[in-house]
Amino acid sequence: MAIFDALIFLAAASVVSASLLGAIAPSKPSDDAEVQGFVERAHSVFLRTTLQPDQLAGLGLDIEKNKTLTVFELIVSELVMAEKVNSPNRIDVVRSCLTTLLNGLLTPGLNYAWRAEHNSTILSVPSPTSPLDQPNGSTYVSKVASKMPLHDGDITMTLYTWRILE
Amino acid sequence: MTSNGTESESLSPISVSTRRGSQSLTTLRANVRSSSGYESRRYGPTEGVGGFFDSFIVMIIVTLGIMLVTSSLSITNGELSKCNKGKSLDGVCRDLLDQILANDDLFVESGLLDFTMLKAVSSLPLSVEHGVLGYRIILTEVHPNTGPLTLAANGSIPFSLEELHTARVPVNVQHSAADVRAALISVWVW
Repeated sequence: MAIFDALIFLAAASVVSASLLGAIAPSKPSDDAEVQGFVERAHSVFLRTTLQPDQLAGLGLDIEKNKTLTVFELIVSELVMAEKVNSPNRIDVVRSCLTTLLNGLLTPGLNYAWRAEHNSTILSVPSPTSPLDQPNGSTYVSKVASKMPLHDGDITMTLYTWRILE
Repeated sequence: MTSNGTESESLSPISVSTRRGSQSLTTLRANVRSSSGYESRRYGPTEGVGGFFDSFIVMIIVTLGIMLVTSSLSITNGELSKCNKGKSLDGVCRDLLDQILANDDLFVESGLLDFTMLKAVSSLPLSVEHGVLGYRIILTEVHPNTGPLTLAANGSIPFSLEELHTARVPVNVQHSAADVRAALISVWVW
């Protein structure tokens, strides 16, 4: 009988231990709102950044002396250009500029994909790690829409980010 | 020969009277041995040596149960205190960032830091909660020719990275009207 009582006690102790350890396991703070705020801020910083003349050298843009383009202005000009001329090399140069900036702002910690749309023209920057790397969990999206400067229609820029699994 | 006519055994001269008649001690002892396997009732299976081993197993099981509960309690307590400390240090990181971002003298306009004013960060009266051993405020521009720039420092960095808590915020840094760079202000607290 004493062994039976002891086994009952052990079972109760196991249940208490399991519930205690189970209670602390999922207690990681949920900071989705914080990450969302970070992503939106990073997106606006990204669009506001100016590009150095050497970064734009391959594009043959007619830029006044001591002036340069912000990322937003570059995207607008490239979308307009893409509607007229299909130039993969040019798009590669633009993608390289954008990827460098997005990498610096978002990695490590976040993976991303970015795209801009005007009418039916799309300029996109795929995930830098792998095109097959898909979001696995929460996705944080920042969308900026504005009137297309000097042109008809709207331009929509969307930044998708997700956490890199460790 | 006894008084009731039965014959006493030669091995045991002492006889015992029972309802059925008198039996010798040797016969009783033989009956006890055959029924329980032990020499005597006094050291029977539930009260004697066997009972001690039962208690021993019970003690082991109970000790295991107590150890299980106490170890899980101590693990839970440790994890919770670590979590609370981490939360408070993360709060200090965000608080320091907020103090920098709230200082209008550093910004040309909203979200656009003036590079020439960044040295003033080290002289800002930053209020840090009691219990924080040290901090670093670092600016990292996304630019090929610049490395991380320490804006303010206090205390020496701990050897263990587990003690380090960080927060970062993206900002634009204006070097000139034609040179606005993307950057991250990082705060390390320990």
